[in-house]
Amino acid sequence: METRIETRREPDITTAKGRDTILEVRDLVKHYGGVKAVDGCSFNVPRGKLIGLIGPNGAGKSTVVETLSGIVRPDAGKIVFDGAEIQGLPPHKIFRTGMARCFQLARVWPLLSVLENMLVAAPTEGRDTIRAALFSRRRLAVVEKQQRQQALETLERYGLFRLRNDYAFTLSGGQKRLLEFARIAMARPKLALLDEPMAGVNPVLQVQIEEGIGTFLASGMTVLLIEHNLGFIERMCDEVIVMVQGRVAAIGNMTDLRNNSVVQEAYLGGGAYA
Amino acid sequence: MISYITSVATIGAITAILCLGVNVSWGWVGQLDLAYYAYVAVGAYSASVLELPRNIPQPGLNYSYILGLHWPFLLGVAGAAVVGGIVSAIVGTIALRRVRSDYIAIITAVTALMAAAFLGQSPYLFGGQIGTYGIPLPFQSSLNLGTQGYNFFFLGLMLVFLALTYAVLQLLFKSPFGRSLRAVREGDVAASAFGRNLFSVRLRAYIVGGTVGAFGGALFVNYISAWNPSSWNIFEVVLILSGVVVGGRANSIGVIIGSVLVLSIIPEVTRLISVFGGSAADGPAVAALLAALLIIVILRFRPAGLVPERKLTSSEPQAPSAAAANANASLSTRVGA
Repeated sequence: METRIETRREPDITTAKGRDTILEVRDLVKHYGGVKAVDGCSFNVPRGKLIGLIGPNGAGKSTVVETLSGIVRPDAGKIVFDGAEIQGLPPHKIFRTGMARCFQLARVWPLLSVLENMLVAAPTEGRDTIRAALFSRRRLAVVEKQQRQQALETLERYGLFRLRNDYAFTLSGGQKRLLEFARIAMARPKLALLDEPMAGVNPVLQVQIEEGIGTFLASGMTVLLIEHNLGFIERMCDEVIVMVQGRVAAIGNMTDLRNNSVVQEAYLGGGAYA
Repeated sequence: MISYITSVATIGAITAILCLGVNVSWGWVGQLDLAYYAYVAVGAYSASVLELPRNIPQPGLNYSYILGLHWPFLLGVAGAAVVGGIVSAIVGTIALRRVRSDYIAIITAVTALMAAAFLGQSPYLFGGQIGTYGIPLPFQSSLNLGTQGYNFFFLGLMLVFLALTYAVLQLLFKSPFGRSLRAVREGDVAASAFGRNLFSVRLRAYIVGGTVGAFGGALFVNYISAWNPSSWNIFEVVLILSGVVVGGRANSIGVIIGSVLVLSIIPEVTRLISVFGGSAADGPAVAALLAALLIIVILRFRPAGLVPERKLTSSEPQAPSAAAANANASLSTRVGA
C-alpha cells in the first residue's frame, strides 16, 4: 500500500511568525538527475534559537545543509540569511556572511596542528594575503597573538588544550568532532549548522557536545541541528522541522510532533515511540 | 678543484631556489605544476632580452631579440621575476578555475609543451632554436676581479639570493597566508566552508611559485650566459620535484637539503664513475638511477622527507585562563600577606 505523506510548500506553522528570523528558506529545490533530494523545502529559523532538523534517511536534511552552506548549488528557491539572499553563493562568501558548519563526517585539516586548525577557523578579514605577510607584520603579530590566546582558551573549554600541539589526524573521532565545535566557536558565526554531531560519539563526549551547543546559544548564536537522537532533540531544541522526501512535513515542538500521525508514519514507520 | 667546487655550489644555490619555488604550489597548497620549468625558461628568456641589446651579436644573422633593453643585471632579474608572475597568473587563471587538482597537472603539462614549441619556433622573440646568448656576467666589468675571485663573488651573490628567497618564503609560510594554503591542501571543502576562496588561494600560490621559478631562471641564465630550447623540457620539473620529495614537502630547509642531494651531489658523484673503471657517458644514467632509488627509499621509510613539514605549536605550559587564575591567586596571596 502506498504511503502518502502530506507535504506543504508554505508551512502554516512557520517557526518565525512575529519573531526575528535569521534564516528563511523558500521553495528550495535540488535534484540529482532523477533523484529529488530537496523538492520545494520551506522553513524559517528564528534568531538565537536551537532548531532541530529531523527526518528519515534520504529525506534531504544533509542536502539542505549543503545548500545552505554553499557546498551544493540549489536548482531553485530562495535562501535569505540575515536579510540578504545567499542562494548560489560559494561557501567562502556564505561563511563571511556569518554562517559556519560542522560536517557529517568530521573534516579537520589533518597535517595541521590542533592549534593551527583553530587559527584557520578564525575570521581572516583580509589578513591572509601576501601583502599583509610581507608588509604588515607588526599588525599581523598583534592580531595573531590575540587569536592564539582565544584559540587556546577555546581549546581548554572543549578539553583539547593538552592536544594543542598534536597533528589533527592523530585525534580520535570524538576529539575531531570536538575540534569542529571549537573551530565554530573560534569563527563566532551568527548561525551554526551542525550535521549529526552526535553520530558515533561516546556518551562522555556527547555531554561535552551538548555543553558546546549550550555555549553557542549562550553566546547569542543560532543553531540548526540535524540529529537522529530524538531524546537529545526533545531535550535541547526550541523547535523541530521534520523533513520527508525532500519537503517539510511538519514543524513544531517535539511533544506535539510525537502525536503527529504524518510524522510517525514517515519518520518512525508508524506506531508510538519513546 | 676550487673552481669546480665553486661552480657546483653556484648551480646548487640556483637549483635550490628553483626547488623552493615549486615547493610553494606543490608542497604548500598541493597542486602538481608540470609547467614549472616553463616559468624557469620564461625567467631565463626574459632576463636575456631585458639585459641584452636588441641585435644578436653575431654577423650573418638577420633577426633580433624582442625588447633588447640592455638593462643592468638587477633590473633584468627583477623584470624577469615580474614577467614570470604575470605569465603564471595568466596560466593559473585558466588552469585553476573550476578545475580539480588532477587536471591541473594535465593543463600545466600541456602549457609547458606549448610554450616550448612556441618559443623555440620564432626567431624574432628569443632567437628561436639558437636561443639567447652572450648575456654578460653581472658586475664583472666593474669589479675587476680575477676569474677565481669573480667565481667566489658570484657564488656569494647566489647564496645571498637563496637566503633572500628563503627568508621571504618563510615569512609567507608562517603567516595566515601560508596557513590558508596548507588548509586548502589538507581539505579544500572545509577550507572553503571556513572562508577560503579556493581559486584565489591556489592562484596566489601559483603566482608565487611562478615568480620564484622565473627569478631562479633569470639567475641561471646570468651564470651560464645562454639559453635555448634544448636547455629545458618538461622532464626537468621531475628532477626538481624529486629534490622536494627527498628533502621534505613544505619545509624550506628540507627542500634545500633535498635539492643539494638530488640535483648537485648525486650528479657530481656519479661523474666519478670513470675513476672506478666505468664509462663517463653512463654518469647521467647512474645519477637518475640513484635519484630514483633514493626517492623510493624516502617514500618507503620517511614519506614526509628528510626534514618534514613543521607545524605551529604552542609552548604555553597551561591554558591562558588557568595561567590568569594562577596569577590572580598569587596576587591575592601577596595582597593578603
